[in-house]
Amino acid sequence: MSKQEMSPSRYRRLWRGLKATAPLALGVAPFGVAFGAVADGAMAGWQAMFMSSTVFSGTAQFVCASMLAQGATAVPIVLTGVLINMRMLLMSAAITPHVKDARPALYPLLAHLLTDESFAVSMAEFEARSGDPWFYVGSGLAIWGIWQPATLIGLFFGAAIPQGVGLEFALPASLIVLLFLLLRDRLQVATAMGAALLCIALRPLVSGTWSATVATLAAATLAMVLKGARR
Amino acid sequence: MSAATSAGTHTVTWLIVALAAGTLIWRLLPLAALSRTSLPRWAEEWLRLVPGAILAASLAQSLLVQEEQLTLTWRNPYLLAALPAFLVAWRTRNVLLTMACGMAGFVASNYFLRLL
Repeated sequence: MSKQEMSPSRYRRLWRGLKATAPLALGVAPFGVAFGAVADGAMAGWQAMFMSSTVFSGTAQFVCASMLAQGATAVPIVLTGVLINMRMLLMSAAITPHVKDARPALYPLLAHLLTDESFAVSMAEFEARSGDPWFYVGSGLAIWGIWQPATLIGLFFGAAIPQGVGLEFALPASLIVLLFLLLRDRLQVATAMGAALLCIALRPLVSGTWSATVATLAAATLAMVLKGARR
Repeated sequence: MSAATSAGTHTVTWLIVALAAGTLIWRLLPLAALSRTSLPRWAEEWLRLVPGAILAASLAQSLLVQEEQLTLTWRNPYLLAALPAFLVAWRTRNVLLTMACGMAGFVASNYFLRLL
């Protein structure tokens, strides 16, 4: 317990996570606005807000709202959305050793706040220092807190969002800098490159919603096998 | 705000509930199952490779796949804008600066591609 008492308070750790993730929340905002705009034609406004707060997963929400707008039926929509999010199994497994000190009653909250961005920022922090559930909660809250107003703005002003200022590139740019924050050794770099290549190469065989998960599984396993063979 | 869809309001609400539940299961299952055990070393090593790989795969898709089509040419503005973004991220590791340069690069790429 003494280590716990020495470390900064929960509030301070949560705040650090929030601050570290705030710039990325800016990159997520345009995506949230885009979701709101698509959802406007596909469901009631309160349902879009309900979706943003409970599903809280950009790609799945976007794809499901588009499918609804095109008149798809419920079962395929739910299946598609849930399959898109399967990569979260891997992210949750990877972050577990760093946040498992939290009270088990908090696990559902920790789980719900898992996003690509909060995951990447937290993993970069945890690999450089040490695991901390409160940093991670702060990181997740930064994204959740921007996702709700962004959805609302998209619902009301969807069509009036400024074009031609490069907002489309905010998300790819944030992924690029996250990669540099995350990758720490040559094996990780090689695996990441392998996953990117596989993801593109597998496109004819594996549908877009699956390819990132399949490519990650294959590249990480291949890296372990090759590393084992060299020993 | 209109809800012009074939699915009824109740159906959409239940659809969202099902989607939220399914997503929470993916997010919660490993946390609940793995928190009590310590993983074998090879599994920890394997999981250490996962974050960068997922991110790189998503990035490859968002740069190279435009409207479901593989766009592996220099006329792809996403690919062109990625160059300054990579350079800035590599030199500075600064999130806001990388996003600003990437977005500026995207605007510039679109402008020059239209001139050609």
